Amino acid sequence: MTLKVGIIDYSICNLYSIERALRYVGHETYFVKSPKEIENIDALVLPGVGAFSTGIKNLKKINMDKGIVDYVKSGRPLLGICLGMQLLMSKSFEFGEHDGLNLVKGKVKKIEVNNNIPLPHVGWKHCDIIKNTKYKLFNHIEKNVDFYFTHSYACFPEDHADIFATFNYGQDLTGIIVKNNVIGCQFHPELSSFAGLELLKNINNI
Amino acid sequence: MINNVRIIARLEIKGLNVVKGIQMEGLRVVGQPEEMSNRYFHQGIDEIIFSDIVASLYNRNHLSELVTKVSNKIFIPLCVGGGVRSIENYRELLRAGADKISINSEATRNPLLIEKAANIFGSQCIVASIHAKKISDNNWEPYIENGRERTFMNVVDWAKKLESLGAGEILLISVDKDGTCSGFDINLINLVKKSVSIPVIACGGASSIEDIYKVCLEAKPSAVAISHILHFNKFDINTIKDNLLEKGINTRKHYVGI
Repeated sequence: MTLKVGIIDYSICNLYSIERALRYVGHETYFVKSPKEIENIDALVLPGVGAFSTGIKNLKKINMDKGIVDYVKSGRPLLGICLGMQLLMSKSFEFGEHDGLNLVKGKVKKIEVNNNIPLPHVGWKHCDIIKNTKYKLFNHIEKNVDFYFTHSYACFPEDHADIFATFNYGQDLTGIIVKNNVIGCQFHPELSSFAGLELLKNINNI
Repeated sequence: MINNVRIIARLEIKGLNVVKGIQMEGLRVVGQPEEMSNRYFHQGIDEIIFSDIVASLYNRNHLSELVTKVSNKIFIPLCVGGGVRSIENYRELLRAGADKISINSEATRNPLLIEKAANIFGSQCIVASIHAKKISDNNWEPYIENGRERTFMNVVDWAKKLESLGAGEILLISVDKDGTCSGFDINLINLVKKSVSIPVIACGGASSIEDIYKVCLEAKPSAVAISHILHFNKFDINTIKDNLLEKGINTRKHYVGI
């Protein structure tokens, strides 16, 4: 099914990979820069690479901090990717202390690793589903498919019920968050080959 | 080993072609970038690196068009490098569809470019490329301009410096081993791997699955970049991954669900 998917353009680079991937699976894509532009879309993606503080500052600049929160109330799906997932949380400790969108209660903290494990974590990992609920969006994750991660920080939700899947990088970390229609994934579906494309295709099947 | 080792295809680009030389000399055309990237993607490669090997020498950057064409069809990380000199070059290549940018020569002349780029675009897209040439036992020197010019630096000092400037990964290419099919320079990779905490990509010299196995076992890089094996159809990606798995080296399993 073709969906109208909004991609939030908040001047953080690399919206192009996610745009191409969404189009490849048949969706229409729109770069959105104001709350008004998300009125008629079917699903919203908050992409993101780079620093948390810049991300939240830029969202506020275009009023999308409030825009996203209002959008979520409408019940339509929101997908946060990587930094976009971390921005959903209450607080981040990346270079100081910064408030997030508070859609999911919890913190963003640097991954603690021992000497032998490289940081940033860059590579392919599978996620382990820890929740009983089934979502069509994540059907194929049970097949142990790997996704592409690149990050040094991770989400630590207060309520474990918000964690849908974990992955292991020296310790179990949050791979996927699901809270009603708010979805966050630490990996990049747009760079995760056919496993990621399948997820993006079913973005509204939550 | 818990983590999957990434198997990366490195395509050296000259003009419209993919080329391969020996120790960065004697280049020979092996195919077209679009066709090869597409084929490797569908076979299950984990990542692709484009190195425009003449851009740095001739001060030109014509990669963008090619990057756009290729990135429309492949959905894995694409790293692009060659002749990157400015923040504007970064922006241009990212806009064209690159996910990571590799930089070598200009970083030695202007190290702050790495710091600046990391601040603007994030470390995840900053791949620092080091072309290392062996000077004496346990001493390697970074070379620039595709292995033609000396820097008189030490590879370990340079790797540490690159990490402190905000590089997200190091692409470590052995100039001595490149295209020779004599195996990786394991001592070099070990040395650099131990001196930084960011991921190191081993590159140069792979001609067999045994070579890849050996470097994974003895130097434990985060990734290996190969070209010769794939370009000359010695083994396909599945065969490489299956063989590595049998020997206990984990890699991403290719999934074709959609």
